[in-house]
Amino acid sequence: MFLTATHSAILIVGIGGSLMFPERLKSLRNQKGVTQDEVANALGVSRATVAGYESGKKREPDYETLRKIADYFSVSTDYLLGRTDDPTPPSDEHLTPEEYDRRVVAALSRSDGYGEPLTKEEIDDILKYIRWTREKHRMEKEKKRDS
Amino acid sequence: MTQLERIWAFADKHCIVNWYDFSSSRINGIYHRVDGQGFIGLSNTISNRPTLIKCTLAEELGHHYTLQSGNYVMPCFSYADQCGLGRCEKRALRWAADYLIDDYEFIHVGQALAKQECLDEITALASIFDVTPMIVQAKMEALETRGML
Repeated sequence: MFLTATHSAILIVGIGGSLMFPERLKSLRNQKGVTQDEVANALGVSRATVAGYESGKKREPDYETLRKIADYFSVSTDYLLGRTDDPTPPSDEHLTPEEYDRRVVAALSRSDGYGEPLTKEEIDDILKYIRWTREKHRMEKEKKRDS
Repeated sequence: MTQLERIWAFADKHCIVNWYDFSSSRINGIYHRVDGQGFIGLSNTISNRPTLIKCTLAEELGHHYTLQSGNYVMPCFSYADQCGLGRCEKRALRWAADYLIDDYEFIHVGQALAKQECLDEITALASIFDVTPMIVQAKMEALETRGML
């Protein structure tokens, strides 16, 4: 369960007609040793949808699903789209607090990695903690700078 | 210096460690990283349980050292909820087990327990090494992978 992968809206343009995406998806799934059902559960779509993505004949993921796929396999969306052969997700340095929080929620909402998925209350709790540490860290840094 | 003091000093040097009131009792701790800085949050509910503090700290440090660069958030759940762990959690637990327990000492004690026909080896080993059963299991897996068991 971790936060990775950034991409811009413009990348979605690369999906249309790309033969690379279905192959990459299938290959990543096999590497991770998970079934289409498991991927479907993690993405919140049906198994048939995942099968459709892998066949490349009918379906293409939307922006949000593409982002989820990248997060799930810990690769960049550029790699999924065949725009690069390097699967390493971008370093995501200097995320805005809002973007970081959004990714926290997205990552924690996935059920993989633990027996029981986190509840909404637990996710809110973790988010509250992260905001608290962010504020505390910021104040400490300011204090250091001033002294 | 106790093992807990040692790991606390180590964690404090490499991450920012905070105590926090998590409302969920199954969250023992959490690791998250922002722009290269690692943060470890420990639940106040485990503050009077040294063994759990030590193991949670070790596991969260395991995340710090086994995750690729990037921004992450990794909760550490209580033992009862740690079933079906993912790869990242397993890597972190293994790191924690190797940090907390020496290979040869573990094998030696394990062999001694086997001779005594100990029925609950994992619990006994956890008690002897003052760690959680999850850490013992992770140690066993690590040694098996290395062909030492």
